[in-house]
Amino acid sequence: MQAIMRTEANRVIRIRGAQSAPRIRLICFPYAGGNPEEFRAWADEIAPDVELLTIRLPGHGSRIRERPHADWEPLLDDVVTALAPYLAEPHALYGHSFGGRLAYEVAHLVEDEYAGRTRWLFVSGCRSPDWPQRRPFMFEQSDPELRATLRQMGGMPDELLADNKLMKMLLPTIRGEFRLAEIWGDRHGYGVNVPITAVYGRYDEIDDRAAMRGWPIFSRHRGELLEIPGGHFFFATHRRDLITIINTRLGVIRWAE
Amino acid sequence: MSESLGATHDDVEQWVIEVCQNLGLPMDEVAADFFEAGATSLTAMKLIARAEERYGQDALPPDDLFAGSSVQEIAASIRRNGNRVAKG
Repeated sequence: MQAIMRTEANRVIRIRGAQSAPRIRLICFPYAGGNPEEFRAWADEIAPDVELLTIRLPGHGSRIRERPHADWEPLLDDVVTALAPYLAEPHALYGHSFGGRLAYEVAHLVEDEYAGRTRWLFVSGCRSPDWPQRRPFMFEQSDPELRATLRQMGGMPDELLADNKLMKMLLPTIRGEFRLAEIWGDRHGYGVNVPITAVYGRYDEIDDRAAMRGWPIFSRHRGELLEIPGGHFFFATHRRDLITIINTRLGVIRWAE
Repeated sequence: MSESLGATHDDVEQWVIEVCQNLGLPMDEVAADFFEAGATSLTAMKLIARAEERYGQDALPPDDLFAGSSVQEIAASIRRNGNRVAKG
């Protein structure tokens, strides 16, 4: 019985409920290989009226034995099915890097199914749909090359990268998500009718200002491009700057504090 | 969840709770979840290493830990896989 409940519940993670009736839900999408539990660090900083949700994709946490999706369609189907009850209600979407691409694709699907429910789209450390992916692809690298790339990118502790047993388990998921991130492009030919806030890191060498400058035109509503300090993982190192931007845009920040 | 509160801890469960607390995680009952308590992949690596020191090689396979991360589930995996543990 517990196993069945777990299967149903293990896709959506409620990081924190709103402390009053939720004005809005913020649904967060992790970067490639990123642990959704990292969003637990947001719980104390996101505005009190926001409910914070994230998603556990195949190959992560309790879904560790599931293979990552080989294409965007089954991934989106999985995500939208799991999130359906929340996507039918007012919400905002946030994603970093691979998660930014996923958030944008979900916004497109919501527009078809539940028009107007997505109130804001936040993307960070994520090239715009029209910006060409840097070659050669990381997902085509051998395991040792990919580990070296991950070390250089700086998102994973060296100790973990040196652990053969854990890396053997984690690499297929990382590679699969890199692949989807790298083959992704403008799948629609037009933007979403949702305000977009795109945030790049001043020292990000993967998705720099040039790679993100195109985002505002992918909103048919309004779009903005913002800079915060930090490299590609400003998501973690400059969390407060990022959350302040989100809180302000959601209009629920407590100015008195 | 309330039924698990009164459950008695066996030795392995007690050991898991102690190690998790030692790793800085606020876990004090068998239903507590390792990742919900804030563990990262790095913390997972440390728990696996300690389990191997205490219960033998491959006592806690990484995919077992990720697939089921409550104290009860972790202890059950160690009981299945450890070669220095009473199978009870």
